[in-house]
Amino acid sequence: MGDAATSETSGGGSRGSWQRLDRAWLALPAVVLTAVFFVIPILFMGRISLSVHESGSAYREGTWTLDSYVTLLTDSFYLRIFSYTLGVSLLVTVLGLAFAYPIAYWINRSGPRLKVILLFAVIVPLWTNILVLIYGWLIILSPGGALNDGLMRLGLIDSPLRVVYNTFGIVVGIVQITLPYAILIIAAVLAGIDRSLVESARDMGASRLKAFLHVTLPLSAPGIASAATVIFVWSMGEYASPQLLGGSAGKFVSQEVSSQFLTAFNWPRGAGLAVTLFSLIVLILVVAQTAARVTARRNAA
Amino acid sequence: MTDVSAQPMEDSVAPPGGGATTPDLEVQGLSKHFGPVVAVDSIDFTVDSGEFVSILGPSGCGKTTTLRMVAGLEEVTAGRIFIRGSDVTHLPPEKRNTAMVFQSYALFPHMNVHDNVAFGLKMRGVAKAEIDDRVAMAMRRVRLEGYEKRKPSQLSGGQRQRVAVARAIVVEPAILLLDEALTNLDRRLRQQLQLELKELQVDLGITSLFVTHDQEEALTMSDRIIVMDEGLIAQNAEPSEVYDRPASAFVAGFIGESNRLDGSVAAGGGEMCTIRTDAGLDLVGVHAGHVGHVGRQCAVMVRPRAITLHADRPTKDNVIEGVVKLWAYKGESYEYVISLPGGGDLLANLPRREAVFERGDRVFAAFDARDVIVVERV
Amino acid sequence: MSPRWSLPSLSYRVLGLATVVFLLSPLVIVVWLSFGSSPYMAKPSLDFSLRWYEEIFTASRWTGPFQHSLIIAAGSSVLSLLLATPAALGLAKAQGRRAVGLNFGVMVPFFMPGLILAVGLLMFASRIGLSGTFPGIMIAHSLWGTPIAYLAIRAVYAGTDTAAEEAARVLGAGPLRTFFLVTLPSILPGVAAGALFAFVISFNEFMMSLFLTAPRTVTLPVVIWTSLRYEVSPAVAAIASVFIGISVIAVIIGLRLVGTRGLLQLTAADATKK
Repeated sequence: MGDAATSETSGGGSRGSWQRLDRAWLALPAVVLTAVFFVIPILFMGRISLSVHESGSAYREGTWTLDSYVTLLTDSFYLRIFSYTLGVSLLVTVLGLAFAYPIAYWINRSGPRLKVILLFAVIVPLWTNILVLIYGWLIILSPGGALNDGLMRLGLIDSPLRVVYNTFGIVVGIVQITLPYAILIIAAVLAGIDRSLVESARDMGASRLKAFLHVTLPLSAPGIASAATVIFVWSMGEYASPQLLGGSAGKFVSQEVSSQFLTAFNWPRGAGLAVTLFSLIVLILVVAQTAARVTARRNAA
Repeated sequence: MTDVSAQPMEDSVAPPGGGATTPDLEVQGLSKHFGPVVAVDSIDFTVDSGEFVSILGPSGCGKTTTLRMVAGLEEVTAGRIFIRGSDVTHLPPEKRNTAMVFQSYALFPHMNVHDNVAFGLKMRGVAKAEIDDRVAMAMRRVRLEGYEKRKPSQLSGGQRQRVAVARAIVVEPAILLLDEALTNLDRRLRQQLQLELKELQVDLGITSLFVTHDQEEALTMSDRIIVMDEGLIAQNAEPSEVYDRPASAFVAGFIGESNRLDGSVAAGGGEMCTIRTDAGLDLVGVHAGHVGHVGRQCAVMVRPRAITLHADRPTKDNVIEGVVKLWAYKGESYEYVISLPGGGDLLANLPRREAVFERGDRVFAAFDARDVIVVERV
Repeated sequence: MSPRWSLPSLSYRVLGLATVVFLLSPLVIVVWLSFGSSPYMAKPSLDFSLRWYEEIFTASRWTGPFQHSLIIAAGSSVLSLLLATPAALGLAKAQGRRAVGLNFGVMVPFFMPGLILAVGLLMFASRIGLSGTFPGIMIAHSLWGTPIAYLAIRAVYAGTDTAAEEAARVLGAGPLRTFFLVTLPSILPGVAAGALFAFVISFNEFMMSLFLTAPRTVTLPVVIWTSLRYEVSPAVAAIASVFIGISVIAVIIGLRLVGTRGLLQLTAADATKK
């Protein structure tokens, strides 16, 4: 291609501002928002996590140290915090999926009217402030609260159950918050499954249960996987539930981050914790996406 | 080839001279590359004033891309586009004075029929009273009076198509572009609208460029057909010529049914030549293009309707002996599959009264030399 | 035996119903409590009173933050729309690596916990003078508002016929007139849904607000937070009920705008992007 041709082509390209390839740049302002108010702050946080802490002024500018990470890796206090967060998040994920699947299946099988009612029951809590949800559970679960009161009046228990300000309380809170997302994700994937596959399995003599176990369940695996990712990631970063419903049994990473920033005023350590949490979450998301891509490719092949 | 079109070579780039004969559309060396893919490969053609030209070809041949480049919806890679003599190659679509009927009709769903049709006139700043007059006239032309207040969603497929046509003709464009404009309709409605659209086009004398993959549609409606294949123009001629004298095996195969026998030129000279097929038959035919050369590989194309079947050897230019392998009733006619000596089948289409042969019958298939088209083997 | 009521089919209904009860019970108890007169937080009683609603709509410790929340939610949803609408139009029908990259750039903050965003912004916003200001918190909330509005608008726009815009161009409309006369009207349900989602997200958000607001910009969720931590007043139940009411209204509007399928698809799109 000669020079003249090249220049003509590029000249033409700049005029095609309304064409698809160029239109993609309309996303630039939104990406700039991400870059300036998400990426830069994260980098900033990374830099501060590598600074020397100085009591009284959060951190000393221009200094370099690995102190905060050394502390995180060696102090068993932080290892306990991370393992508690991970453990509770795993538990919450398993419970969340167990609760989400049946109702998602029901939503998918129900007629239009029931479907609206069920979706309404799922989406209203989703769009309600999580503090309101936690407040509701505080009322229900507290030692003198509705649950214990009811059970004692019925004579089922003599003394109040310990169902809040411990791990149980945290689990209830996070399941409540994340369940609607999981339900909607699984329901959407179930809705995309070709009904005729299930019907043909039934035609070939599979029982209802077998058709479900061998057809519907495997086909909904992508939905289960993304629901699990959402619950797990959310739980890893959750702050309000452990803070309000948890007790002395353990601390979440986010609680420690917040107290380093707002109470201890040790920014390097807080930032180090936040960077570690952020990296864990990114790792989970990347692993989940890679797994999803590999499975999709294998299914396609 | 991009060099040629891109270098400012005055004589080839200058708008075609001589005022009165300026075509409404002239395309010179037009190319479109999508990355490494060459969708349109340096094509040239013109559409004269009042002419109805179809671009016909299989999907992926570059016909829609060509139309979209004319409309300004696709940037050209190389080449020039002139509308009524002025270079519009780099003008945005709204400055080209074209109008387009889309396959999906592309009606504005939130506007009623009147506002849809009036849109182009409003954009041109036409006064309201005139808009109303012209919209009313366009609505009459497409026989949709009384539907002005309806929304597109309240119309049938055929009615939507008419609104799309009205919306395009009302602006009196220099050239009307139609992209598979009838494809989404069912067969009967389509045939009816083909005739209506053609009538409208002739009445208004509106210059039209029509893209379709349907050969019947192209044959019915066009003054001229441009057959495209893999980004190139395979033939640019009147419908009867494209049908009777296809320029290549591709054109012959794409337009109408054709038997194809491969071979090479055994004796040439003049208009006629003798072809020895690969199966060893000698056939006489008219050659198209540059096939004259003795020894040159070529293909022989014969239309099934040009073939007659006989129990005894007839005296005709070409006679091939074979056996009836199958026959099928086609309503108006019978279709016969004759297996040939040396392999291969021949498809023959016989009128009812001539269809007297049964499976296994030994027959002589005969056809005139002028019904044999000799083309380059691709 | 009727297959409709076989054991497996009964079991998912029973489990589903139990889940609905679980999900809704905190909402029911909060609303119940808000109409009581008891000054204690724990036990809902059977007497009916509106005293807590009277308090929250008159006492400045509630009304101030309520106004702040409305201002911030409105500002943040406008900002989100301004960024999300062009992004959705640019990317809904685009393909290729660049489009995937830009899409990722728009979506990524959506998957980050509020705490991470909040901590990052706390350190950064104080540097550039946005800490404690209305614009600062609006921008912070639009980190979530923009992706959700983007998803809503993109979903609607992806379902429209691009040819309509092309038809407008060929008929003589320039890019701007095409946008306002053809594109915008056809994506309006998506824009409205996007604005609603962004508003609801901002109105409910508390983590970033906790880190980034100052007393003169403090939002209602932050006040609830403080109240829950230090001195629970049943007025919180009334405030909480207001939140529930807003959520109910928003869901009704949302279902009207994009329908049950739309809401399902939006979540699905959001999940698959992960």
